[in-house]
Amino acid sequence: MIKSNIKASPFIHGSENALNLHLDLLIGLLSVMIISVVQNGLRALTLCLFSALTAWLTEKIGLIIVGREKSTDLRSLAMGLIIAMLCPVTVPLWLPISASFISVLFVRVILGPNFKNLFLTPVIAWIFMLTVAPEEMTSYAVDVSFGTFSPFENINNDFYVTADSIAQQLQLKKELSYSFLDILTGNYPGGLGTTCIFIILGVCVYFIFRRSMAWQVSLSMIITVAIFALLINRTTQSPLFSVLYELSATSYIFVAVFVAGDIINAPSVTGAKIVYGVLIGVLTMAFRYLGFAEHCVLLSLFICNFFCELLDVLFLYLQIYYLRKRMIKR
Amino acid sequence: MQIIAKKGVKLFRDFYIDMDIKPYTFPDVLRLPIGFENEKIELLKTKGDRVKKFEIIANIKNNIPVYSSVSGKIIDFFTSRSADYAENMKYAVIEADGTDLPSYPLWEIKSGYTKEEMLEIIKKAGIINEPLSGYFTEYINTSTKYKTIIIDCVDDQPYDLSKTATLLNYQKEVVGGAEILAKAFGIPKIELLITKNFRTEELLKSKIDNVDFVQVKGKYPAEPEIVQYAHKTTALRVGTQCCRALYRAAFFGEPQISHIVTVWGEGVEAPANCEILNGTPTKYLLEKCSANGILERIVAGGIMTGYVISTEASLFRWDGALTVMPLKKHSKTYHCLNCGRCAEVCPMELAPYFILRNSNKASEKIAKQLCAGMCIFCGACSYICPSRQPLGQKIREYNNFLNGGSEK
Ligand code: SF4
Ligand code: SF4
Repeated sequence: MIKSNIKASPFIHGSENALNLHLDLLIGLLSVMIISVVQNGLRALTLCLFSALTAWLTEKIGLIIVGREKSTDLRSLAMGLIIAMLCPVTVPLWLPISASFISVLFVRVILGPNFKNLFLTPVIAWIFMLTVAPEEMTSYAVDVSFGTFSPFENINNDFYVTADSIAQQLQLKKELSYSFLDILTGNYPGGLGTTCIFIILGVCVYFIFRRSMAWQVSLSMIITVAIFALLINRTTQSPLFSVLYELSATSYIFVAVFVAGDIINAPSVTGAKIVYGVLIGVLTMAFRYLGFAEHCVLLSLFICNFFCELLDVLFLYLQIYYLRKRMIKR
Repeated sequence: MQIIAKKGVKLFRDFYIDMDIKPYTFPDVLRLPIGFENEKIELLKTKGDRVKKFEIIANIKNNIPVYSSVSGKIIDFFTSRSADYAENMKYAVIEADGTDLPSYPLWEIKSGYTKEEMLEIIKKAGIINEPLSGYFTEYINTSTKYKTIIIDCVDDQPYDLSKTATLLNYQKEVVGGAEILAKAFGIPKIELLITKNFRTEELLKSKIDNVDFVQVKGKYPAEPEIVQYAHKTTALRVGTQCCRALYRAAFFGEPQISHIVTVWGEGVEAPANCEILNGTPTKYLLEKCSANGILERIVAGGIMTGYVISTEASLFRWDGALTVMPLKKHSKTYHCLNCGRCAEVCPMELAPYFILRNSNKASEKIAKQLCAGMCIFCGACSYICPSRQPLGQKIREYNNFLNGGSEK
């Protein structure tokens, strides 16, 4: 009997590959980083670079040690950047570096790709940073310009004026006085790369164009919080400002675009993506109303992530159920 | 009228190929596919027998005849595993002696036929309905009151224009075939499905009357939308080559012993549409189209759904394309990223990554739960996957396995 040469169709593939997806994420983050460096000075650059490099090296060396295939993607670099960007610019250098090391080691080396949806690297890093340096993680400097902080030295908090974050101010029912432009350009206290809404939304458009994000998650997160903000106005200003403040508080938009909307972490089925986004939004607002001002988004993400797979399966079976029903009808 | 395929992928489409059809040449040796082993093959000839052109070599299934496409001597029979169906195909090897004499009509010719007579001719002529990859006689539901005949001229895979070339070169025969079928079955309407932006659309419209045009737009694959449309309009769907064969069977008493194939791809210097006799080894086609140098990968049946074939092997009768492609050097696969793109593009609304994940636990229950059997093997999921997961291949293997086919 002649054996034929069994090769699988299709014999062509789309131009997109896994590397492109990681590269897109990196391009988005680098754009945000550049704006952050312009606004916060070279210290933002050192924090980002050291954190990214640590994450990358940890993964590279870690995978060699555990004997799994060598890392070929740029994802760990992106994770390192996200971790640094969640921190205020005044945090000591060792904090994002150690957070990157621990989270990448735990999530990407020890757990590996099979558990990637259970724990997100930035969320684990954030839990670590908040546990070991709660004060540094929640005190934000104001009136920062390019040369304010040294790129390498530790910064004593006597040397800068601090301000409450928007979340804290909302919780304390303080009168907020940031303009629309301040919010768009990132002129308010927050993580070093998470405040400039304008550039984050620009990157979001790029991601959507390149189909490299789960925009359904980000959009449903944003819409959910916007609805809450319209219904329960915690500011003394118009409902529009209520929406703006709630969206910009606690790095919400940044997390929605770069962490929750990350195509690799989000659920795969469209319905599940929407419900996942809504759940994060609802939990975030619930935590805010309960008084967890600074920690609500990542905490919600941490919780919702456990249901990611479940949501996928649920919606998949729903989809198949309707598909079958349609087929029977035909 | 339009049909829009919303789900699927956007593929490159290039129409710069001469649309004339090169006539067939006579190969010295043919490898004539007879039928799959499970199709109740009844051999009427044995090794060493002489056959004439149009002589029946075997009957398969319910007496569907398989004709010899040349005169010569049967030098062997062999069985080979078909790459895409994972079933064993029986072949006859015929040494041609060059004494082909026209010996048709093989049955009585009339100017019009009743439904029963038409059904008989379709069976006797062994006509293939190429969009459905099988014998036309098997796809006709005699109890259905069809309202429309759809002539399917949708070539939506790159490097395949066989249906279109057939229509352009044999308009009279294609439309004539559909008309005689419509008359016999009492079907009032004929529609022609063509792909959007088809450069000869205007030309066709000016040449073909009595037929309504339906444009097929959107992504690849258009198949599910066409099936749905045919169902909605209670239509009998026939390929252009099938219509032509029908015409020749009805007016010349000739069985279908040839079909048209587009030979193209990066390794072909002179791409062309060629008519080939059933059983012609691919090397004759490749020589005809100046495929030179090292032929790295030869794909039969379309680059999205086809299978790799050797130069000695012959095509199935429904394969409309033969493509010579370079080997992909950098087709490294990564872990599934869970991005869901495969599910987004699946025209059948399946979840390929999920089927792939569960394909190791090959159980009928899981396959049924995930509707793996509904896969149409279009390859859109594999095409779009950024991790280069062999989704289409795995799902096909999974289905074959569950249908009692090959081992996984
Ligand atoms: S699962 Fe089947 S039908 Fe769906 S895209 Fe893949 S090959 Fe096509
Ligand atoms: S497209 Fe590929 S990488 Fe994405 S979910 Fe499907 S199999 Fe996984």
